[in-house]
Amino acid sequence: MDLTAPQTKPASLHRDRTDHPAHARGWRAYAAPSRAYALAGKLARLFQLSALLFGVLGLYVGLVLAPTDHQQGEAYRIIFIHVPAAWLSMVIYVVMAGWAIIGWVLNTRLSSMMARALAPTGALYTALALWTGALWGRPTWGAWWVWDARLTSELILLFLYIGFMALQAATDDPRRGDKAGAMLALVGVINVPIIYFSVTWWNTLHQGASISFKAAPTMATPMLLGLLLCTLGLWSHAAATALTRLRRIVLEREAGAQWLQQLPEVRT
Amino acid sequence: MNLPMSLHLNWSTNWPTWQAFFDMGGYALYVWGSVLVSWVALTWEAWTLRQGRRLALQRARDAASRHPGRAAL
Amino acid sequence: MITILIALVKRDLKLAARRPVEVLTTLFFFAMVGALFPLAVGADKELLRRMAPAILWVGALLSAMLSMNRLFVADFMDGTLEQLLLSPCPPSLLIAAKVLSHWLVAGLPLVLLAPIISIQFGLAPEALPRITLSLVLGTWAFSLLGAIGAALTLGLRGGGLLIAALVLPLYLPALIFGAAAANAANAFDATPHLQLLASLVAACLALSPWATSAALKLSLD
Repeated sequence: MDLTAPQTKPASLHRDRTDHPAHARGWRAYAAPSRAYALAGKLARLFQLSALLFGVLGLYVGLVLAPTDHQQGEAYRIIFIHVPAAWLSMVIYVVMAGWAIIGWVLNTRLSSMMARALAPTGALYTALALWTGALWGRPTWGAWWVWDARLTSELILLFLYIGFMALQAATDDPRRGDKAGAMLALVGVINVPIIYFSVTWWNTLHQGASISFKAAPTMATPMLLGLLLCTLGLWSHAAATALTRLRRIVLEREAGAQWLQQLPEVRT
Repeated sequence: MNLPMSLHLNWSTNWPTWQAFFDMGGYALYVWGSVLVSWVALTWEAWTLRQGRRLALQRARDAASRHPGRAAL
Repeated sequence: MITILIALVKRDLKLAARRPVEVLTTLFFFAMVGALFPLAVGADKELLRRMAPAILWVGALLSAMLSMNRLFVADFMDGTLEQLLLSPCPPSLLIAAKVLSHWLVAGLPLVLLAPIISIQFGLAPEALPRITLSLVLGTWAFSLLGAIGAALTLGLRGGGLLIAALVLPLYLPALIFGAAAANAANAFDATPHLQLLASLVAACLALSPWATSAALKLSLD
């Protein structure tokens, strides 16, 4: 193997059977970057709109309408941001790993691009969950941070995201980066339950201050409604962001393709 | 499900004044801090996305100008 | 098959013997970690004795992480790795052999040095068997899991630090179980943690060579 040769191959040489959308039927046509680019644009706008709608509604219900909590006072209202962010951080990791593995097994580069698009959003939401969690922990538990199972596992999830992004950033060859990321994500997904189990084990061994983590408010209907709306809003926003990022990744990786050069925004 | 009625009631019982709403029962720093940090994070993400798109379009235009009319290999 | 394994291990050991600096660097790093903590913590004997198993474990983890990028690089550079993968021997077996020789060079010395450091920290001699056993199992887990990271990052910039970012979450369960075993008050208390650690190592033995060979094939293309 020639070690002095540049590591990258031009994007236009990465052909797979998805390059000809006319041959694919139904939804499989969208495995072609050209089709997916257009669809992602439309969907991103839709999701952005629904994110705005659900987000504003959810925050209104949560911050304005929902009643005060008996134990935590108004401080509990942070859950309307914290819980959706935490849920999504976990969901996005699994979805990202799923797309990466599909891209590896079926050799469709668009699936791997979708995984790359999801990673930064997932990492951001994980960091947001940790930060808002600290802001919630300070008034309710008296501590910015505690080493309990859930917080520690969430922190490790952030490391998993960062590792995924670091590996792909360090790899010049995009297809190698896609597949390496897929392997790492696969190992990560298998490892997440193990990590959670071991951290829970560790936590029961070192049960320090008995902070009743289950002191989440018993949910009154407006609270549940607010939580649901906020989750839908943040999920829509995540979808919109990921699809927008996917379009940028497609623009970068398919730069030599003819369909791309014909695009109105490129031709100007 | 008499929803509008019950929601209207909650709003006025929760927050008798605007001041009370901003004060958040003394937890203003934490609640509004969380709202602020989320808004900053999401806005920053959107902004970097827009930057990235602009850069990618610029690169695509450069690639197009270097190889005009080149068919996808 | 076994003869190939033995031949491979012998070869790696011979090569390592020609460059003892690698073994010594790992050992030195481990010893340094053991020496730095008392300097940072202070001369509080009781505190140091309580912290000793944890310090040993973190030191072993960091040493393992730093030594991982040497696993495949030398053979990759001179083309031996490709030849090995082209041979009819199943790649998992070859990788198991390489991991074994790596452990013998980078993991075993740590395990042998650990009792000396334990005594420095004032640990009771009765604690040594469970600490040593936990470290043996732990360094096996570190070598096996680190191989995946080494294979994924073969030839990339970033070297050791990139591997560290990738394998650190993988190392955590081993660290938790192993340090719990080392910290246990007696052999009876240590047993469940050691059993969990052993089952983790068994799972790594079964799965890691396969994952590593997949990653190597990707990196060598």
